[in-house]
Amino acid sequence: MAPRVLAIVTKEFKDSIRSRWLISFTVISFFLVIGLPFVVAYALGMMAPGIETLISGTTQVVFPFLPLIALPIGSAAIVGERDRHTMELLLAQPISRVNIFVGKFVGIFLAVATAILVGMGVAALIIMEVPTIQYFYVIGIAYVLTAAMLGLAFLISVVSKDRNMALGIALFFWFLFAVLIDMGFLSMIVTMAFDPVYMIPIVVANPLELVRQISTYALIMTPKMMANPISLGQLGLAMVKVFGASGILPFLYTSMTAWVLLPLIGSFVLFIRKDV
Amino acid sequence: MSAQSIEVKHVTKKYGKFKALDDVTFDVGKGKIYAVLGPNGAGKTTMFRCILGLLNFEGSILVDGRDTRKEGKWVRENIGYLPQHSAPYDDLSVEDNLKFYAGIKGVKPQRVLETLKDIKLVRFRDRKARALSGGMKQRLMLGISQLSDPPILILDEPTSQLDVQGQLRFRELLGELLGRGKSVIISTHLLREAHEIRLFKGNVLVINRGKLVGSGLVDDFMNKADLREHLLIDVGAYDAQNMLHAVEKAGFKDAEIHKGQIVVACEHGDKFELLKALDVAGFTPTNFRVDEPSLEVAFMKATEAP
Repeated sequence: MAPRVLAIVTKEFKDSIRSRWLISFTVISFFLVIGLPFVVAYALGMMAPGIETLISGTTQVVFPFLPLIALPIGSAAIVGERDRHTMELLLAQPISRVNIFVGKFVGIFLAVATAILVGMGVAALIIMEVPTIQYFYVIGIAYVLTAAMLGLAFLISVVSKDRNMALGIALFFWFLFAVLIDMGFLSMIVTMAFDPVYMIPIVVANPLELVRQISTYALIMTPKMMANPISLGQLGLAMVKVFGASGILPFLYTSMTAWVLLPLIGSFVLFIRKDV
Repeated sequence: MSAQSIEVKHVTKKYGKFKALDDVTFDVGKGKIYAVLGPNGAGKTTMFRCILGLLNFEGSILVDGRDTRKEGKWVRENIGYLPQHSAPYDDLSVEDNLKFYAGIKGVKPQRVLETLKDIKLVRFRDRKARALSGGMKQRLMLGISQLSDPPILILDEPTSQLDVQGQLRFRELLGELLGRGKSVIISTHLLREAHEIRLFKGNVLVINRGKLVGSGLVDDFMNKADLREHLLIDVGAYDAQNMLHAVEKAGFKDAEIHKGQIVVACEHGDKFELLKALDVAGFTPTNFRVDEPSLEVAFMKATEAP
C-alpha cells in the first residue's frame, strides 16, 4: 500500500478503534459469545455447548449488533470531515480521491475487524480451546457483513448533509434490518398470506438475514437435514424449489456480494464526482 | 518550464444556472505576490478550488505548464493551500496533525520539527488542536500548507483568525516567502490587507460576482479607486480653523471641518505622520478615529469607465 494511503488508513484505524461504540461492541460480543452457548445448552438440557450452538448463538444474537457498529461509525466517515471543516484541506493534498476513499474504508474496516476478532475470536478460544474451522468461517461472514454495512454507511455519509442526518439514516437502516424485516416475524406473515417463495426477496433485501442463512446452509445444514422438510422450514423449501438444494449457497453468496459491492461502488462514484 | 506559475484561461464554473466564475482569465507570475480582492461570495474560493483541481469547470488552468485537471496530484504537490473555513483535526495534537499531513504529502518526518519551529508552536506540540486559540490554529494551518515547502502558496483569508501580533508575524512571513522566490496568492475582503500587499509591490486581482473586474499593480488599483482613508480628529479645546491650517501646512490639502472634527483624507501609512505634525504644531489630538473606504465603494470606483 502506498505510504500516502497508509497515513489515512492509520488515522482512520486509530480514530475508530478509540470509539466508544466499538469498545462497547467488543465487550458485549465477548460476553455474549462466552455466555450464550451455555444458556442455550442449558435450555436444551445439554451438559456442554457444541459448535452448532456457538454458531447459531453468534449469528442470531451477536450479528445484529454488527450493523449497529459499522453503520454509525462509517456514516461519519465523509460527512464528518465536511462538518468539521477538514475535508477541503484533505482534498487539497497531493492524493487522489480514490486513495482517500480507499484509505478511509480500509482503516475503518480494519478497526471493526479487530473488534470482531477480539470480541468473538478470543471468546471462542476460551470456550473451545482449539477453535474449529467453522468458527473462523463465522468470523469471515461477520467480516463480509461488516464490509456490506460499511459500504452502505459510506453511501449514507456521501449523500447526507450533516453528521446527525447521517447517523439518523444509519440507525434507521439498522432498525430496518434487525427489527422491521426480521425473518422470524415476516416469514410468519408472508407464509400465512402468500406463497413462501415471496420470502426469498425479503431475505435478499436484508444482509443481516443473508449472513444468517449463509452460516446456516454452509455450516449447520447437513445433507441429511437438507432432505428433511421439517429442518428446512418454509424458507428452505421455497429456496430448494427455486434454486435446487445445490443452488442455495451460490445464490446467497451472490446476493451478499451484491450487498458488499453495490453500495460501495455507489458511494465511491458519488464521492469522486461530488464537488467540495 | 512555463514562465508563469499559474495561467487561468476563460474559466467558468456553474452551479446549476448560477455562474460562480464567469470567463475569468489571468496569469500569476513566478515569485510574485497577488492579492485577490472581492466581497464575500465573489468567487475567490471557487477560483482557488478550480486551480487545485477540486472542482470541474469550463476553460483551462495550467500550473507551471501542467493541466490542473489532468495532473491534479502534481499540482497539489506544488501548491500549499490554506482554505478559509478549514480546520486541523481537533482530536489530534499539533504535532500529530503535522505528522498526518506530512505522511500524505510524502515529506520527510524531520520537516515536522522544522515546521513546528517555523510556526513557533514547539511548546504546544502535544496540545490537542481543539485546545488551541484561533490564532494558534491558523498558525498550525499555515504550517500544514508549508510542510512540503511548495513553490506556490494560495492563502484564502489567511489573517482572519490572527491577532495583531499574528498579523505582524504574517507580514514577516510573507517577506520571507517572497525572499525565497515563492509565488503567493492571498485572498481577502479587507482593503487593509491590500495595503500590506502594496508594501511588497504586489499585484491585485479584483473579483466581483464571479467576474474578474480589474487587475494590475496594487498601487495602480489604489490610485484609480481613490482608496485613501479618512482620519477624523476631534478638535476638542483647540481652535478648529487654526488646527485645519496646521493640517494643511503638514501637506494634507484634502481636509475640512465637519461637526467639530477635522476630516483629513490620507494614505494608509500617513496617519502617524499627520498626528505627529499636529503634535509638533501644538495640537495634541485627544481623540481620533479612522474611516476605511469599503471594498464595495473601491470596486465601483476601480471598475467605472475612465
